[in-house]
Amino acid sequence: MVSDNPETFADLDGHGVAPAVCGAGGIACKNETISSTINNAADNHPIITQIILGVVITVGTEGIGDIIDAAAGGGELIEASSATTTDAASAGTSTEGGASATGRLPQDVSVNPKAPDPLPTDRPVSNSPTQNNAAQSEVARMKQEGYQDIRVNQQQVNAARERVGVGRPDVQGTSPGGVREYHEFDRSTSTRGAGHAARAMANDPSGKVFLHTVD
Amino acid sequence: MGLINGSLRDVNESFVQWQNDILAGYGQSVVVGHLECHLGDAFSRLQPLARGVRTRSLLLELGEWVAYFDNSHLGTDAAGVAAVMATRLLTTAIRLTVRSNKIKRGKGASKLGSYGATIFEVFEGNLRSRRSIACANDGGRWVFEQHGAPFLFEDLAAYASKKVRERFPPYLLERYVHEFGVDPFSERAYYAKCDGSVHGELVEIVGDLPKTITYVTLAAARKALGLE
Repeated sequence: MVSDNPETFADLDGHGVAPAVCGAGGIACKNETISSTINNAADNHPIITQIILGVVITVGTEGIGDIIDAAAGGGELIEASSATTTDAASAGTSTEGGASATGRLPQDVSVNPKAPDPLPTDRPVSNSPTQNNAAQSEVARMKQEGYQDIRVNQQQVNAARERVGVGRPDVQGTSPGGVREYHEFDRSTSTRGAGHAARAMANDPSGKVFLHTVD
Repeated sequence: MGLINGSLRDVNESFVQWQNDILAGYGQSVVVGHLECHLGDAFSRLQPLARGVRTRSLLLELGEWVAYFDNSHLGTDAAGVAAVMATRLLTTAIRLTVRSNKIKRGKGASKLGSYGATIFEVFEGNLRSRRSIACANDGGRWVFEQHGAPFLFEDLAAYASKKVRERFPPYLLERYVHEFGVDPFSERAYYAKCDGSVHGELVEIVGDLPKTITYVTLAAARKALGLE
C-alpha cells in the first residue's frame, strides 16, 4: 500500500527504473519534489495507487520507489505490482538502438499512420496463463468502463486511432476522457517492461503507460 | 457495427444508463433523441464524425434486434458496446466488421485507404466472446484467428484455405449473421414497421468532452478510407 505521506517516498533521485527508461526512450531524469499533487490520484483505476502527471512512479507493494520526470519523453508511466514488490532497479535493461531525438525508433517514425481494425480481444499476450488472465481482466475493466478501440497484442495506436508504432502493447484502449492507456504485463523477473514503456511513451506523449507485475 | 438482441426500448434504456454511469466521472452525460425518419437521414445524424472518442451513437430497430453505430471517423467500434450490452441485458450481441482492403503497399504507398477486415464476434451474456472469427490485414500482414467453440452452421473448411485472406470472406459472415435471424445488410429490414420510417435513438455525449477530439466531414472520412 502506498502512503500519501511525502516523507515515505524513497529515492527521489530517479534511480532504479530511471536509467533504463532514460537510455531506452531518451527520457530525461531529474530530481522531483513531491507535493500535494500526489493526492490527485487514481483516474478511477482499481490497480493503480497513485498518479502524478508528467512524473513516472513505480509502485510496489512496499510503496513508491522511484520517480523520474517523464515530460521530456512525454507520456506517463505508472508501474503497479499486483503480486510482488517491483524491483525497478532490475527492470528495463533492454536497449533500443537508433532512437531519434524524440526517443522514437526509426521503424516507429516511418510507420504508416493508418491503423488496422481492432481484432477480437481474446488474443494471448504471452505463453503464461497468469499474464493472459491479467490482460483479460484489464480488457474486461476497459469494456465495462466504456473504453474504446481496445486492442490486445496489436501495434500501437493513439487516441486519434493513428498507428504510431510497430511495437505491440499487451493491452491498449482509450478512456471516455480521451486518454490512451497502454498496459504491459510482465513477471517480476522480466527486464523488458521499462524499455517497452519508454518506447510507447515516446510514440504517444499524451498516453499513459501502466506496468503490471504478475507472477 | 453492432447487433444487440432486444427491444429498442430495453437496449436504449440500458445503454443510456450505462453511459451516464461511466461518463459522470468525466463531467459528461448523454442526451437522447428519438428518430423516425429515412435510414439515410438517421445515419446523417451521426455527423460530424469524430476523430478520437465517439460522441454520438445510433440505435436502430432491426426486427427483434437493435443495430448499433457510432460516429468514429474510421467506422463503428462496436466490440466493447456489444460485450457490455450482452452482459447487462443477459442477451446475445454481435460485433461485425467488414472492410475492403484498400491499402497500397511498397514505395510511394498512399496513406489513404484501409486495411481489410472481416470480423465476427458473438457475445452471450458475458464480456468475453462466446465465439470470434477474424480475418484481417493487421497492419501489413494478413491474420486469421478464431476463438471459442464453432457454431454448427459454420463452414469450417473455409478456414483451411491456403490464402489467409480468403479464410473468412464477407459472404460467409453475412451467412452466419442470417443464422441469428437478422439481416443488417438489407435496407428494407430497417423499415420493419411499414410506416415508411426507421425507428431509433440518437445518443449524444455532452459536457466536458476531451479537447483532443476533432471532427471530420463524411466526405473527408470516405476519402481517407479510400472509398472515393
